[in-house]
Amino acid sequence: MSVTSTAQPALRAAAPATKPRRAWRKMRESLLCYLFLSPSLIVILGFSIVPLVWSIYYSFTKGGMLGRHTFVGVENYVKAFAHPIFLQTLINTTQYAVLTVPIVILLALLVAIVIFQLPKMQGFFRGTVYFPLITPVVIAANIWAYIVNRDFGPLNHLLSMVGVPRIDWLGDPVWAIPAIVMMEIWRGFGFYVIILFAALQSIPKELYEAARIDGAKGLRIIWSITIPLLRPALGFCFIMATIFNFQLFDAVYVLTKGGPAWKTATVSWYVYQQAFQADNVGFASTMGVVLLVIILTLSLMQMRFFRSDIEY
Amino acid sequence: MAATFGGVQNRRQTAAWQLVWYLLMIAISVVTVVPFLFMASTSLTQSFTMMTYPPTLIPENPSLANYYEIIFTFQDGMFPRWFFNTLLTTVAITAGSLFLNTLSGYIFAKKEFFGKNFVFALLLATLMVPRAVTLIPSFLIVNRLGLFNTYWALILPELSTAFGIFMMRQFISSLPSELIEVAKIDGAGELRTFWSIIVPLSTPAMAALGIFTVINSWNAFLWPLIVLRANTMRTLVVGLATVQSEFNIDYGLVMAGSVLTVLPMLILYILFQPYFVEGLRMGYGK
Repeated sequence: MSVTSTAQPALRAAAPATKPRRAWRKMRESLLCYLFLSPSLIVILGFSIVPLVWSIYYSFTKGGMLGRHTFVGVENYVKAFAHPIFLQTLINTTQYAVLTVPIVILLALLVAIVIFQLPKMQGFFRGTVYFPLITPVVIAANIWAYIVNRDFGPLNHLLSMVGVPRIDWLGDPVWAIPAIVMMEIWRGFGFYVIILFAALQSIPKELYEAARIDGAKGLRIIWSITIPLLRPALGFCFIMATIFNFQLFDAVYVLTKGGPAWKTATVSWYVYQQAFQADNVGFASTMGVVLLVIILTLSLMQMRFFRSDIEY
Repeated sequence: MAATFGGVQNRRQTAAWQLVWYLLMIAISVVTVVPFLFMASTSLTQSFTMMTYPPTLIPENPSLANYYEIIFTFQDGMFPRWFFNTLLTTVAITAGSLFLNTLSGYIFAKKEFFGKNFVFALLLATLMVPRAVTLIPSFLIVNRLGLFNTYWALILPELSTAFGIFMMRQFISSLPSELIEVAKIDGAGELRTFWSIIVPLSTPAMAALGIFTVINSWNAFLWPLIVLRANTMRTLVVGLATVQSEFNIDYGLVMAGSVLTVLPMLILYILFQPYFVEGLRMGYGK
């Protein structure tokens, strides 16, 4: 990357630039770069960075979509942490993530390893496991609503064949979260399969050869070579999965609208509900900021944990 | 490519295991895809037979009545309108963001300028900011710009993304810098170099990012739900979701609409599948 800038002056060595002229040229080049970047930067500034700062400000105020906001200090934060529904959505969101993230990544890891050692049809199987991800969550959730329907859904039908009584998946407070988690796993695991598969491909073959010469076999090779070398990729998967699953919204919107009795509502859902239906914008912003802090903390912790010194 | 993965078992054992793995993968594929077959099957049934128990994959009296209804008679042709809205915004977002993300990716990959590392780190940090935080102010900004209920409300915020810039930067970094120098010696200006050297060499990455963008825009839900309130402005996904919760319309009809929504993405997916996998790899950066 840094090679670029040194190459150009070298070409013009015949006319050595004086110091101020070089500084001027550097500044002009920087300005030109920013000129080219400006459309992108304006969009990202306008719809990510400014909104972020704005939201943090709003989280200390009271007010609706329109009209003035009055500054109330940390009142919203105090209120949030004593607010039964918000606390419930925090617990629910954590539950979704804690259930989904490990299962989805473990499943993806197994599937990626299995596909990787197949001599043929690797592309086909990668294609099928990724397929649900090209469909809108809304539609996938709709289909899922049918699959887990109490009276005529295929899932209860299958379960009844082994003697399990009918479960009202989406209506029962105990089963609603697992039903949505199952959908998230079914829909999402293909993403991690593709990433882990790519990481598997990038592990040099010589390492396996060496292990084999040392007498290591199947599972042992996977455990002591594959998994450690997949560490950065696994870290990436964990971070992405955490960020995604802490923001669960679409599935809740379609499947349960947060019910029964807020038992499936997520923080994102409640922010949406408070901001766009209850016009409680200040408080909604506060909850959003709390979510941001949680996601940032978890991401940074994971980055630290998965930091790897192994180079290959 | 990878038949030797971890394997030192004798041949018969290997063959038996291979069979197990194939069967396992076929089972997983079936579980992944079969729910969509229920969608297709329901779309071919008149709604009342939906209630049949046990559930069947093959409809007894298949008919295209639902498709006819959703395309021609549903709310005075609202579905084709939604299709058009979705198509228009998807094409605009994809074309615009491909250009801007590639341009910015090129600048970050091959140029040195004041504050580069800081700006780039800031871009990457925005990837961690949840939607719930930026949603309200973004909505207010769109409103203040007078874009509520217009296509621009969907297009503008998506015209450049941190993810897209990052992905293009990763790819363009790997292109040899000498090519750019040669172009410069030949007297090509910055934009000219970008257009005639960088863009042609970046087509694999652009194809991957393009397909990603198409699918994300086509399937977007939360943002279009908020900024497009008029029924005539809705996208397919939002239209299907809201119409279903507002009016208790029948399931077969929704499923026919869903099939028609997924179909273009399915075709794209089958045609461009190699780019997909490449795209994910490049996005991941390894």
